[in-house]
Amino acid sequence: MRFVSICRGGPAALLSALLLAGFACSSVNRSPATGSDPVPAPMTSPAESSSTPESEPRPEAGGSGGLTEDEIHAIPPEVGGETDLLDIGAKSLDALNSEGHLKDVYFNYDSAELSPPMRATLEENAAWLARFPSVRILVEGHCDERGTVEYNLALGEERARAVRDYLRDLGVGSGRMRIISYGKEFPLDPGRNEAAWRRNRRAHLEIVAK
Amino acid sequence: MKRSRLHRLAPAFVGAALATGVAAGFVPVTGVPLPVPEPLPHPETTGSPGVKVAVLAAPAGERAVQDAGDWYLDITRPGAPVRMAIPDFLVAPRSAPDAGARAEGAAPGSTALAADESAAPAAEAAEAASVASAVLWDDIEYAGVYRMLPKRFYRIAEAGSPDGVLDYYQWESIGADILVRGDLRIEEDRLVAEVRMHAVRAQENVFGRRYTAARGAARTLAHRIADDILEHAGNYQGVARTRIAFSTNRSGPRSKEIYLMDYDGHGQRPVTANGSLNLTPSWSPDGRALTYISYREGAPALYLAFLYQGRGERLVGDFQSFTPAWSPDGRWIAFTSNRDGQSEIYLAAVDGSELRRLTDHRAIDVAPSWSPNGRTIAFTSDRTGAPQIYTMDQDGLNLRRVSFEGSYNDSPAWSPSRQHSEIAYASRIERRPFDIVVHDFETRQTRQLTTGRGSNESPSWAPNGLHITFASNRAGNDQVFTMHRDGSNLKQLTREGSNTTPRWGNPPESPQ
Repeated sequence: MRFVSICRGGPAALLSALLLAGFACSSVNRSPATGSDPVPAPMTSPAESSSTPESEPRPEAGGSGGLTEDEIHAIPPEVGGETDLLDIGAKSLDALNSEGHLKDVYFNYDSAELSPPMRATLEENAAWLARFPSVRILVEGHCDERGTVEYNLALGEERARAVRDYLRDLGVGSGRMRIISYGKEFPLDPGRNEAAWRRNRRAHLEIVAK
Repeated sequence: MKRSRLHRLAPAFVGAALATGVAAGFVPVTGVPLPVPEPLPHPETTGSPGVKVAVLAAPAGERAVQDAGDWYLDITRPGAPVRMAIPDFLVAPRSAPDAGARAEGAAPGSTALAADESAAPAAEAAEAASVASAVLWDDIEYAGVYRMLPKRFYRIAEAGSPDGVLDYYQWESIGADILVRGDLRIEEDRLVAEVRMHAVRAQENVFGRRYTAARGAARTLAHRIADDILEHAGNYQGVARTRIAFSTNRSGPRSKEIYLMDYDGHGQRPVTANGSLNLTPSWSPDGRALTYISYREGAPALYLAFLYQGRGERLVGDFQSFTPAWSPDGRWIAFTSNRDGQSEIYLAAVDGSELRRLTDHRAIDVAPSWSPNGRTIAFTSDRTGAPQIYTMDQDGLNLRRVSFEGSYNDSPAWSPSRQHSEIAYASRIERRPFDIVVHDFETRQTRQLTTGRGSNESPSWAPNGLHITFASNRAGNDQVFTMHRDGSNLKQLTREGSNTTPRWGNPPESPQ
């Protein structure tokens, strides 16, 4: 099964598979990524990204060459921690997003302020993004249903912006991040109680390119 | 600023437009336009041209009629509300060479005269008369300025004149001040209705018109008649032909499309069909176009939808844009954008040629709404730490705070009324859900229109400034409601899916 999925990924997947295998041991660093990605990914809505999980092949993928399918088989089985050997090239965007590598950030009511625990969460996210510099994300700002439609559109935007700005301070390149506000249009939890509202006041980091 | 990006609106518009051979795609929504009605000769003064019009009863305030108590067959009380009787439309025979005389002489049982017609058109005419009668009644009643005389009284008046001749004394005896009678027939492919309004005690036929409409357009026909009756009886601007645009998720769980409906909730149909999020519509002042935000290309951007042409275009893209509002002179669209790194209010010319920034504050500034004269813009800002309503001049100067009560106020909507200078908005008091309140600039008072049933949001005024539409989740999902400007006469218009951000507009009947 692994073979099949890698083939489907094409040369890009193949290259990143090898690179990842090589970098895996030294990629525990938290150094900021440069984020100088020359080709910003087109913005995609969640609906579009789920219907077309495969992103466009990146330019650098074409120039790799020299690898055959046999060599893919030669990749050693996973030995270290799961994330260290995460083969993002072999996985669809859907799969990567559903695996929860990037954690949601939660907010207080009518606030776009990042609390210390949320800053810690973003630091983890930044470290993950530093490990996979080709990954681009869409930062979605969401609100609970208690605010109004109109104001929540602006509040969601402010939340997404707060997350993007902090990730940028942590070294994630601006070119890798886009922000979008969904206001209160897409609640995670349809409930009408404090627990649901707490879950819905969030910024979600969606991987849109890898 | 990017412009163009033509896109098609919902196929229902374009397809139906082709089917009817009309260039614009709006016909299925408006119904087929009515030609200018022909005046009927005044029966008592045969030969006098035109329609005789008299103001019978100018409503005191806009709400002269209070809740009906018991009914009396006595109208001698001074200051009593004006009572209107509207018997059901009669079904007239097909050919009517002497329409004026026959209309007045039509007996309640005049359907029998249609014996020479085949059964199918007769049944169709009866159905159309039934629909038109009900719609006309509802439209007049909705205005809230007349007390509607119950139909069960009419038999008494009609029994006194069994030959169908209008006997004013009979109608006066049951308390009618105004009598509106009409008949309806089918001529080839058209509905033809003749309507007369009588001042009962003056014993005068003050209004008469012949209307024609396409077969199947009985509702549209009745709406037109209702607005004419209201205008000629009391110089009242009716809303029977207005429409409400709103955003609904009924076509898919992860999408919201812009829909239109009649003011009474009938004829709900899509404007957009792109499977994305489409929110916060705003009408052009001439009612021919909407501006709204759509996520169809990723980030929320400003779009225009030209309803009569079945096409749309993107006005402002590149950055996130929210809550557009069309200026009363039709030249500008005010909206919120983050293009300078924070939520600010901007103006863009409708042709995309200019962009002006009006606010400059790191807090959220959102939801602009124009004053009727276009000189002032109300909006929401949380610059004091919580969302409150402010106004500023259209150049961004002269900032004033409007709302001082409530911990969270949003969605200001400036009344278009010339009589009342007021703003409706959604207000949260303490930790309750939102209620619709209205701030009156003259009295500096704020009145609350809804009272704690569900969360009530996004108010928008009817073109006459006398009614408000809003979204409420009091019945479960968000649904669109209307109410009078004093909070009475609540009506639920939508029931399918979740429906938000209603905006009341006044599209013309026909593309021309």
